[in-house]
Amino acid sequence: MDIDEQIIQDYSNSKLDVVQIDGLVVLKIIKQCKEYLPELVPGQLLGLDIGTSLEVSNCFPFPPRDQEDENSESIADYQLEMMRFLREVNIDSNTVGWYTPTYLNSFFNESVIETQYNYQATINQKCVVIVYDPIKTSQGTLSLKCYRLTQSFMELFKDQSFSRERLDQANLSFNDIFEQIPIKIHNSQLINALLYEFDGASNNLTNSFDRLNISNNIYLEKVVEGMTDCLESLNQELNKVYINQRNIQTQKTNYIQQKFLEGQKVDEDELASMIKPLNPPSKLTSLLLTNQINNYTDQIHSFSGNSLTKLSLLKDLQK
Amino acid sequence: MQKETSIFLPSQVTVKVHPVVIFNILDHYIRRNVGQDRVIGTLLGFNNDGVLEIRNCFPVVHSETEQIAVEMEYQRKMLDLHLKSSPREPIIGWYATGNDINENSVHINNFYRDEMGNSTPIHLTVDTGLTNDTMGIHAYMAHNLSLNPESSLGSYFSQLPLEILTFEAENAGLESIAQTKYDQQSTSLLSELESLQGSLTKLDEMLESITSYIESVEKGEIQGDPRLGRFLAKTIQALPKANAQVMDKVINNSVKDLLMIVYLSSLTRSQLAVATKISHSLSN
Repeated sequence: MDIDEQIIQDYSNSKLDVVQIDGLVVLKIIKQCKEYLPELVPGQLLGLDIGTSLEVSNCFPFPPRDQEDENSESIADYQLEMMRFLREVNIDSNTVGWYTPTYLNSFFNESVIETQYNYQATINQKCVVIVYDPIKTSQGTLSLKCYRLTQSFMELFKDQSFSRERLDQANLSFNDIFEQIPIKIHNSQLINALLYEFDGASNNLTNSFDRLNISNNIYLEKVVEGMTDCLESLNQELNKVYINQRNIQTQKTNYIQQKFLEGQKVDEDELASMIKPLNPPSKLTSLLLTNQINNYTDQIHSFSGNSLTKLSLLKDLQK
Repeated sequence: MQKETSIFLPSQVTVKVHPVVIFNILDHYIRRNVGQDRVIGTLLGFNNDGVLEIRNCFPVVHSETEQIAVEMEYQRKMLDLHLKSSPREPIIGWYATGNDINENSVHINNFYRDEMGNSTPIHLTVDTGLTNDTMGIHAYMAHNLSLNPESSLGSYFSQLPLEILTFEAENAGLESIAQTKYDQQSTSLLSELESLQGSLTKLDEMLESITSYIESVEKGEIQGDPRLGRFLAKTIQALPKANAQVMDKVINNSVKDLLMIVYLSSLTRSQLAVATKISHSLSN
């Protein structure tokens, strides 16, 4: 009785404070994403949601997309069958989200939003997406982030309308699309014993000096290039808006001239009704690009802070 | 993780295992049913000219109460599912928890030999009972003992050299995961500066260890090892002897480049903030 009430309460509560990941899930994500490089293959997360935390205890990858025709059906069947078999060995078979690898944190696009919306709307509103950056991890620091769509954006996306008026009413900024949730790593005592064994057997197992490398400018160049591309895309979006406005103005001018030649007066209501409503460009794309640029700047700041620290150390070491 | 060679091996076979496999086995053991004292599963990987690399595994339902029973149908279905997502990792053996190899192991090994089309399966054991306060991980390969081709006296499991194999990304993941050894609760992911601090601390410890060793040798307290001395000398010679002015110039140029990049990104961020403010002002 208490457990059932707790389950119902947890399901209806949408607040999420922390995501706790098992070490097994981290290693599985790293392995599976490494195997499919350079292709980015997502996977499913399994676990439990308890209170305001989400515990991820296992995961499995989706099969690569070889055939486009039977893609969605076969993947859904694969998911159901895999989860059914995992339940037989007492592995959690509740879906708590999905994970995807990405390059340079450039994962903010409409397909990710649509997939995440489907997860949060149909499975569990606590579902999260875990984003793994293999390029950043190969530099020596694990790059794993956890995101979820905000409640306000969920309501907007439900109506599938991203007109300017709706977004202005919602007062939506580019920071309000995804919310980042902190990640904690948890291991059982037996796995902790294994980690001690790893340390004892070969002390070099967790010694990683890759992050002491100073000549990582290629990574910085890639990030700056990505930011430049996003800025150019944003400029194109602005051009679209400008062209749209100019087309509307041209229509108005032509209509007024035509009426003037016919010797008739033009009132505003008739003018507004006669203008064909052109399809305004979606504001969602601009928001996404702005969010992307903001992410790139965060990444540049973090990386540059690291590099400046290393250079300061090197300068002091030089003297 | 002992390295031992057996005289029974016709060719030298080495086994390399990824940490995710051991993690998976331990997770399976933790979730076993009540009354079940050991669990088994299937190992996936490939054979690369005598080097067997175990890259993945999945648990298999089995029971050993009155008679041995392994659900091979479950095993086949799971293998099919795993081959869909990882076609290059066929079945290469099986694992079990516990430290002993008993009569049931022979039967299970025969099951897997049949599944592998008469190839010889690899057997991996993980000592979840922590015998001698250590978690032993061993790899075996079974060989038939027979006096003539028609009969068989039994099977002999010979131990193979085993090695834990990690890539760079797995090292980074293991380092983050390993923080839970000291903190019994969950730990957050390491930030970049924390990782940098950890690496520098380890480097400093290594340098101190080398310095103390050299000082002891100079004082005559310890007999110096010529190989170690040559290794250290070679390492020191590998350092580039750059001019101080040239190094200062290179460092200053790098600092200026980084500061320029930071300035440009700050400018971009300010521009975005201004655009957002203007957009909100116009809408209101």
